[in-house]
Amino acid sequence: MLKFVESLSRFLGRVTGWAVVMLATILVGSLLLSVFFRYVVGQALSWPEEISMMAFAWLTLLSGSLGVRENFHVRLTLLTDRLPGKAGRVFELLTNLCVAFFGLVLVYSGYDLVARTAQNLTPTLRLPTDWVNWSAPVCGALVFLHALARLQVSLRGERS
Amino acid sequence: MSEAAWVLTVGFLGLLLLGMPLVFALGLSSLAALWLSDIDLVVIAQRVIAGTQSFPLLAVPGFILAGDLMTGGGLSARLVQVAEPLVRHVRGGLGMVSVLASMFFACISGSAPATTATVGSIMIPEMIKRGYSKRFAASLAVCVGPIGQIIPPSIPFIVWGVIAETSITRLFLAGVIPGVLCGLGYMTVCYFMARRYKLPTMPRATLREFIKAINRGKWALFAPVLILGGIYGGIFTPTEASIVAIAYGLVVGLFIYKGLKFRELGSLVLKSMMTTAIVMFIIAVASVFGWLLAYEQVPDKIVAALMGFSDNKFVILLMLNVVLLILGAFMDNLAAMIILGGLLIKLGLTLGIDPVQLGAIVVVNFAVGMETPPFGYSLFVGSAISGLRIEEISKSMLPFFLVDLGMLMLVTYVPWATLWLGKLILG
Repeated sequence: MLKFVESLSRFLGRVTGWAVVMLATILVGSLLLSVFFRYVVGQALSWPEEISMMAFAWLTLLSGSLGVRENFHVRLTLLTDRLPGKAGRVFELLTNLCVAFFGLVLVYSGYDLVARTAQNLTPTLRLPTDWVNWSAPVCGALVFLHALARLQVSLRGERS
Repeated sequence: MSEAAWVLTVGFLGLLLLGMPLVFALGLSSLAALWLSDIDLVVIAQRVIAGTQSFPLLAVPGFILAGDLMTGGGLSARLVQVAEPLVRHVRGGLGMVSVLASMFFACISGSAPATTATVGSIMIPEMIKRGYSKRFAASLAVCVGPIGQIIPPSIPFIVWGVIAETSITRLFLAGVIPGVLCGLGYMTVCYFMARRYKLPTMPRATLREFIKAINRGKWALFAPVLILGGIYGGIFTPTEASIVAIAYGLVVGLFIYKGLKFRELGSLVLKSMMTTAIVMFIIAVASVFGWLLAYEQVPDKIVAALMGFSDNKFVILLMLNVVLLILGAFMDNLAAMIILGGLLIKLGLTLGIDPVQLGAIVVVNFAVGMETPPFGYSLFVGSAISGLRIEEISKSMLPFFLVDLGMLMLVTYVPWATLWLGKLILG
């Protein structure tokens, strides 16, 4: 079970990385097309703005979840660095527990949002707004998983 | 203040000090406050997603990716090299080269740590080779970082523009004069330091060397013309300019300077997006927090308390600077902007400050926070490049910090410095 959580976190972390690169390509590509059409072809496109915003929501939330796995989210370790080994580990443990809990809340809240906006469509392309809103519960689930994997590492007594 | 407002503010600070990553300290304290006020938790997902849905914010990943592409492609290094033949023969010349190089680089990059990383990794070894002390070289590289986000384009100005609904183009122009004056101030410090420590000067560059540097760097030099010219010429919005900069950086990096390789592009994009994620994830989650602060009317209460303390504009502005400087030293600047945005806008309105000048006061204060200990991204980068500890670098930063204070006073008390250029160009 412990092994499983860690390999799942590693695997999904890698998949997220690919997805992030793809989303960035879609974002830049569609905006580039829109600039090209406006200034070179002389005819404005309406869809790139909506597509790029959709990609941006997913990009932000997916790469944000990656931050839990890669531990790149900004934190103030001024005080916790001064704690002795054992107390430091307890803090690390509690921190990861809280992050995992927030992940679960985001799943709950995000799923609620998806359920309530199921009928809505975006203004220009008439796409379901769900396509954007699913990013919240997915991000929450990834945050939960990565925090759980980190929790195990701190349980084994290593400090990050 | 209500119970929820206390949980929100004190809970957040407590979690932050206990080592919780900032973004989750924001999320968890918001969660507790929502719970206490009996508000539907769907607000969390709703605000987080809404926090990303702003077209001008797309310029944030845009300029971060453009900067990384230009550094990877070799444009940034050539831009830095153009600065060398210009001032290297002056006393303290190599220090001045670093300052000038950062001002050039600032015209394509909007981030302080990226400026410190680019200029520092080239200039710190160069300065040490010519007899500058490692501490001076490192502290200079750290201090020129903030110039990168004061001179446009600038990520904090973009974010402030979105929060305060102020024209980003006008805010960009507000940074030009303070940024250039700050650079000149740093150069003066370099001159006096060089005189005091009897640092060697380098031979004057020949016309041939000068032409060679310009020729080698011409494609890099065109990048700021394209970006800034496009924005101020009214051709591009900042978001479009960042996308055009990405395309330009890609073409020049892949085919002309050949610093980029196709198969490395994926990992470069991923690295850029992780840098973006640090910023954007905070912005998204902080918008729940900001919404709650507004809901609890915390900004109004604090402004009322402040005005009760003193109604002298001069004094309140001074207090504002002190508070922003201290916050900037301890916190991430964009998170601080989103949290305090409502409060600062309210204060600006009460005092009758122009919104553009207010933006400049906020952004410049937080830019200085990038170099000040204990929490400054430029400082972290400078320490990583030079191998010196943060304490060692901070001590020799003092003369540059005095220049920063001068710049802050200018931005705060002389509206002309931030507003004149915008009026001149945009009317």
